[in-house]
Parts: sequence; structure tokens; C-alpha cells
Amino acid sequence: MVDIESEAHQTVPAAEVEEVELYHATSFWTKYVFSQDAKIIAIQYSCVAIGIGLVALVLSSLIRLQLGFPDMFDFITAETYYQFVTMHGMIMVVYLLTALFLGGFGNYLIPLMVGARDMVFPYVNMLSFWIYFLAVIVLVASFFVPGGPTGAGWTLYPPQAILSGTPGGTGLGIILMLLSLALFIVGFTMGGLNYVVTVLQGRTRGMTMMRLPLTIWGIFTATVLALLAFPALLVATVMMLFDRLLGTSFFMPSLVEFGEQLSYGGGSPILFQHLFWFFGHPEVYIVALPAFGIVSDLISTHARKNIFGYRMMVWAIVGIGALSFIVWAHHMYVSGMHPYFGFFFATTTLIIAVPTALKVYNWVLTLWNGNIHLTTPMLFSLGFLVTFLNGGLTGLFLGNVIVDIPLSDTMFVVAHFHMVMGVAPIMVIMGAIYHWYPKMTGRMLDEQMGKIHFWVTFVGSYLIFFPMHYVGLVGVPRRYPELGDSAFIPESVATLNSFISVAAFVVGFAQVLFIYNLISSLRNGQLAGHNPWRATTLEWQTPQTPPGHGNFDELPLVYRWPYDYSVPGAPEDFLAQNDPGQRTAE
Amino acid sequence: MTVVLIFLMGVVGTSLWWLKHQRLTSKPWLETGLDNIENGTDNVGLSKPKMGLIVFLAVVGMLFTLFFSGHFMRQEIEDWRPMPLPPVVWINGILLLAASIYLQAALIIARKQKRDLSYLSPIYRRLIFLRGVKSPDASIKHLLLYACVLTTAFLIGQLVAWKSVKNDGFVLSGNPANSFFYVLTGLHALHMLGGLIALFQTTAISWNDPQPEKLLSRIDLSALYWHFLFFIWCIMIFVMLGWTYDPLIELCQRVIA
Repeated sequence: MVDIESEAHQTVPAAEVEEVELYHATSFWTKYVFSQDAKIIAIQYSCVAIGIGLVALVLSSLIRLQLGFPDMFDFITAETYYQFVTMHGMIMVVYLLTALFLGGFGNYLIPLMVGARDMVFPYVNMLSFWIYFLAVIVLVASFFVPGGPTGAGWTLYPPQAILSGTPGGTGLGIILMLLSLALFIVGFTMGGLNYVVTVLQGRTRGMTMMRLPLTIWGIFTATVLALLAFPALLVATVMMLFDRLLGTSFFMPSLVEFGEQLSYGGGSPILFQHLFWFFGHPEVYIVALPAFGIVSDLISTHARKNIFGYRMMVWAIVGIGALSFIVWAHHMYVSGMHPYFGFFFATTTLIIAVPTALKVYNWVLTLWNGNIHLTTPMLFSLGFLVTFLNGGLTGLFLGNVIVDIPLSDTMFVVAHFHMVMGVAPIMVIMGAIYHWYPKMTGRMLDEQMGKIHFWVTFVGSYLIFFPMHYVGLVGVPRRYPELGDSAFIPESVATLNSFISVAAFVVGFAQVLFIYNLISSLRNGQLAGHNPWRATTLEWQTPQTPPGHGNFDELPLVYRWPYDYSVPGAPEDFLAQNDPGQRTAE
Repeated sequence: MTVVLIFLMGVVGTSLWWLKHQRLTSKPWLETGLDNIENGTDNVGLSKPKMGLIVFLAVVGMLFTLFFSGHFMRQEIEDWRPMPLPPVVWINGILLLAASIYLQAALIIARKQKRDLSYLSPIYRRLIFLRGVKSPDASIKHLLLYACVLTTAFLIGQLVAWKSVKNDGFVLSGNPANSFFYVLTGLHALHMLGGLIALFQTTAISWNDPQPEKLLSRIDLSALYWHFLFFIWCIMIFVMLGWTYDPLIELCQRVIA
């Protein structure tokens, strides 16, 4: 039997944590604009990321307008369609998901959850946000330059990316895209150094690595991946800029364009593909690992149950992180690679399924016999679980060379990665916002609106992406603005495309409700109190809500792991990490 | 991409070594209390700035390794014409090495802070031109100044190298080998320049308001950064000369095959 000794803390010798010097802002500008406080930086990151994400959402609606109702809208030409597709993909993957998970949640949660006053290098952290902001401005600027933004596809494959046949290829579009990416990477590296070093060196006393909430493990490992993977994109970006602006031939083979021999020669487009996917595949896990971590904490808190297999969860996060660097060429099965090469990458790809499946089992087993509260964060977590599983299963298809080759460049691939990398992480982001919004603002989001938002988004996403698998299986290629009278494409595809588009508009519109909820709850939301979800982690134990500058009055001391839920005999069914009450087995 | 994977193996190895000390096999759900856990916090034993620099150097290392990897892959295509390196790069190498040695000497002295410098071997003292200087503070500020001057000379030397290859007709877009020469040396010089700005600040502190504690940390970081960039510079020269290509890559290819 387990019992609580509430007086036990008196026997613990007085313990203190070494204080650190903290920067104190004095003016409005240094407090809220050029702020060095990680919480403000987190909110800045989140607002910009969500803002630019909404642009990408509008772009996706425009894409669906064209696919669902081709030839109906004069303002969507083949060129603008390519531009919409490119910018939608790039914004969603890099400027929304990466920035929101690491810059937003990372900044907000790392110092609070590890029991630190702030990030270790606050000034560099501030620079990180402003460089990110500049990257977003450069990206947005490309919409307004002559020729418009690049339409090269989010992978920006050369040689087409910098040729005149591609929208923005010979204008400013591609240059601004590459510059913006380079800026993003520089900015991210500054932030990333902060996240890693704060987790390594900024933890409070008693907070060992094996007592970190899984959210922090996810963000920490994802940041390490990002620090090592983004340089590959930077290298590709720099080389392509040189090719485009200074006439080098890193990637550009010799070409004849409109009967004219270009000055390029000998370059290797495959080299670009290697560099791009060496970044591109870890990027999937840069987005997925924080989602894995956050969802573990949400499930545990809202099911009032300790996480099943904490150690395995940590090992799986680290294992997935390491494996993600040796699978990149599964994006290049159709690039003419050696069959043995493909076999190697298919094998490593399928091996990743092992730690990933382990995590899914552990989430399910955490839910098993739990006291499940169907709050909005929990609904989104369950939505993630199902969606990630579905998306992951089609990943097994595409990981196999022999199955991938016929499916390559079809809508099946689009459906797969939108399920696994689009909808699934977005579910977690939504759940996390509903979960932590009370801590960030002191008020709850409206649960009724939250539930409507969840159901429309969840069911709607399935109505969009399930039929899309079928569309892909019958052979409809991706990146085609219209299909014309192709003999192999049945009538049903056109009907389904219209249906998918209508579903997409509904889901898009549901996000307006979410934004409305975010804004209106700032004033009208129910007061949250300091720990509305009765959670154990340190961010809920701050003296003020929202936490003040420096987070804690006195730095907390950590006495236990973060998953002591449903503890028999505990006054509130849980024990916070800084609760010195000891469990003693009798 | 083989070299990238080799570099990554190094990173993974270091990470595994570190993880080994994090009690990954412990059962945190059974352990409560503050003091019965070993290594409560700060268990890497490095200062925060040093840890930050080490992580940053891993990123810089990755960046250069990826460029080297690109170099290897690109040089297999037949239009590659190796470019002879201008002789001035060897002088530049010596300048950078000297700057690195000076910073190391400054670090040794800053760590000991003893009045006489007899613990430095006579050869080392002669090497760093410190025969006349006696006090630690004075020697540190002189050494830092020498390092600044040498690094500036290195950067000017690199400009001379660029001009010299350009005059010989090896322009940026002439051949991919030339392109890699300009991009790699340019990128290295940018990193050097960033470090030099920080070193100028450190030197200014040492001349105006020497606070031994603060100075020690800054010299420590500068020395590490300089050693690392000198190391990168050496590999870069080997790669551009094509020396690494035949034996190393063939060996790797054979291992993989």
C-alpha cells in the first residue's frame, strides 16, 4: 500500500538553488517588444507563426478551389496554382510548425518546466525571434514582387526552381524564398542553442534528466535534430543562391532553354536532393517529437494516470531522433538510385516504425483504465492518436520501394503526409493551446466552442484526406492544377475532388471559431486559477498566473517525476513535482 | 554523404556517452526526494556559455561537413578541374595557427594568474614573444592583442588569396572547384570575422578593465573557437587539395560496398 507522509518535508535538510542573474526590463519597449523574457518571446513567436499559418490556410483553400472546381476561377492560373502550392507547403512546414513547436512552446515551456527563471542566453533568444520575424517579412514580401513568389514546389528542386519556366524562377521570387530560409535558419540556431543549453544546464535542483516531463524531452531532442539538420538546408540554399545570382554550377546541369544554351554545366540536381532531404526528413521528426512529448503529457494529465513506460518513451524519442538521420533517401526512390541503396533506406525507414509503434502502445496503455476526462485538450490528443496511426500506416506503404514507385507523385503521398505531418501535429498544437492557454492568460478557453472546433476539424480532416488516398490510388498525380480529359481517371475523381474541397472550406472556416475563441476568452473566459487541470509539472506551480518575470519567487526544488496522478491518499489525487510529501511503500 | 554520416557518428557517440551518465535505466516513478538522486543538476560540469559554444561548434562542424560532402559529390562529375591553391594560403595557415597558440597561452596564464611566468617553458615563452613581460595581466593583454593582429592579418591574407586566384583566371563561376574554393574560404572567413569581433571586445576589456573571472571565461571561449576554426581550416585545405579524396573516400566506399 502506498501512503503519504505529509510531514516528511520537515526531515529534508534545507535546500537552496543557486540564483542566477536576471535581466530586468525597464521600459515598455524592452518589456513587450524587444523583450528578453522567454514567455513574451514565446507569445511573439506563436502569434507570428499562427498569423503566417493563416495565410497558408487561405492558400490551401485557393488550391482546393482550383482542384474542386477547375476552370471556374479566372484568377487561378497554372502559375498562380504552383505559387499557392509552394508557399502553402513551405509556410506550413517551416514557418508555422517548426516555429510554433520550438519557438513558441519551446520558449514558453522549457524554462517553466525545468524550473529556471529564463533561458540561459536571453539576449540571443530575443535576436532569434526578430530574425525569424524578418524571415517571415522577406517571405511575405515575395508575394508583392514582380513575378510573384516562387512556384517551384516546397522542395525547390533545381534546375527548374531557377529557370524561366517556373513562376518566380528568374525574378525575385526564388531569391527572396532562399534568403528567407537562410534567415530562418540563422534565427532558429540562436533559439536552438538556448533551448538545448537551458535543458542541459538550467535545470533546477532535483530535476534530473529522467524527471523531465516528456514535453521537454520531445522539444529538446527535436531541437538537437534541428540544429544538425537545418545546416543542410542552409548549404543547399547558399549554393542555389550562388547558382542563381553568380552563375556557378553547383546544382545546374548544362541546359538549353527556348533554344538558347545556358551558361550552366555539369551541376548535380541529385546533390541538391540529398542535401534537401537530409534536412527534410529530420524535419518531419522536428515537428513530430515535440508533438509526441506534448501529447504524452496531455494524455497523462487528462486521464489522471501516470504515463505508461516513461523510460521507454524517453528511449523511443532519442531512438527516433537518431534514426531520422539515416532515412532521408526514401524521398528519392525515383531519382534513379542504386537498388541496394533503396533497400538500405527502406529498411531503416521501416525500423523507425518500432519505436514509433512503441509510443503509440504506451499512449493507449496510459489511457487504459484511466479516469479519462473528455476535455478539449484530451479530445485533440485522441484525435492525434488516431490520425497519427492512420498516417503512419500509409507510411509503411510508401517506405517500401516497390510500393512507393507507382504511388510516387500521386495524391496518395499528399494524403499520407497531410495526415501524419499536417493534421496530427496540428491536433497536438490545438490541444496544447487549449491546455496551456489558462497558464498563459489566466483565463480558460470556452469549452463548448472548443468541442465544436474539435469535432468539425477532426471529422472534416478525415473527409478531406481519406478520399484523397483513393484519388491517389487511381493514379491522380499531385501538383497538377487540372486533370483535363485523362482516360485513366474515372468520373468519381471529379466528384470526390469537389467534395474534398467543400470539406476543406468547412474545416478552414472552423478555424475562425478557434481564433474568435482565442481572442474573446482573453476578456470573457472563465478565470483559470493557478492549476485548472490539476497538473503536476512545475509551470502550474508558479505563484502568479500568468507567471511573472523570473517565473518563480524562489526556484522550486524537485522531489519526484512528473506523472504522480491518482496517488492513493494524496489530498488532491496528484502530487506536484515540487511537493516534498513522500510516498512510502508499506 | 559518407563524411556527414561519419561526423554524425561522432555527435551520436558523444550524445550516447553523455546519456550514459543520465541514469537512463533508473525508475523515476519509484524515486522520490531531493538528495537521494545523484547529479541533481548541472551535471555536465561546464559553464553555460561554454556549453553553448560547444553546441554551436557542433552546428558549425555540421555546416562545414555538409559543404565538404557536397565538394566530394560534385568533384566526381567530369567537368571538375582542380584548382591550384595560391601559396599565400600556407602563410595564412601559419598566421591562424599562431593566433590559436597565443590564445592558448593567454588561457594558460589566465588560469594560473601567478606573478612570475616561470611555469611556462622557455621555448614556449620565446615562441610567444613574452620574454620582457612579467606580470600575468600584462602578458594576457599583450597576447590577446597579438591574436587580434594575427587574425586580422589572416583575414587580409585570405583576401590576397582571393585576388591572386582571380588574377590567375580562376573566377567564381569558371569551374565548380573554383566555386567551392570561394564559398568555403568565404564561409570560414565569416566565422573568423564573427569570432574576431568578440575577441576585440575581450581585448578591450583586458586593456581597460581587467576582471580576471570574466576575462578567463571569455579567453577560454575564444581559444576553443580559434582551435576549432583552425582545425576546420586544415581539413578545408586538405579537401580542396584533393588529398582526402583518394585514400579516405575509396576506403569508405570499399567498406560500404
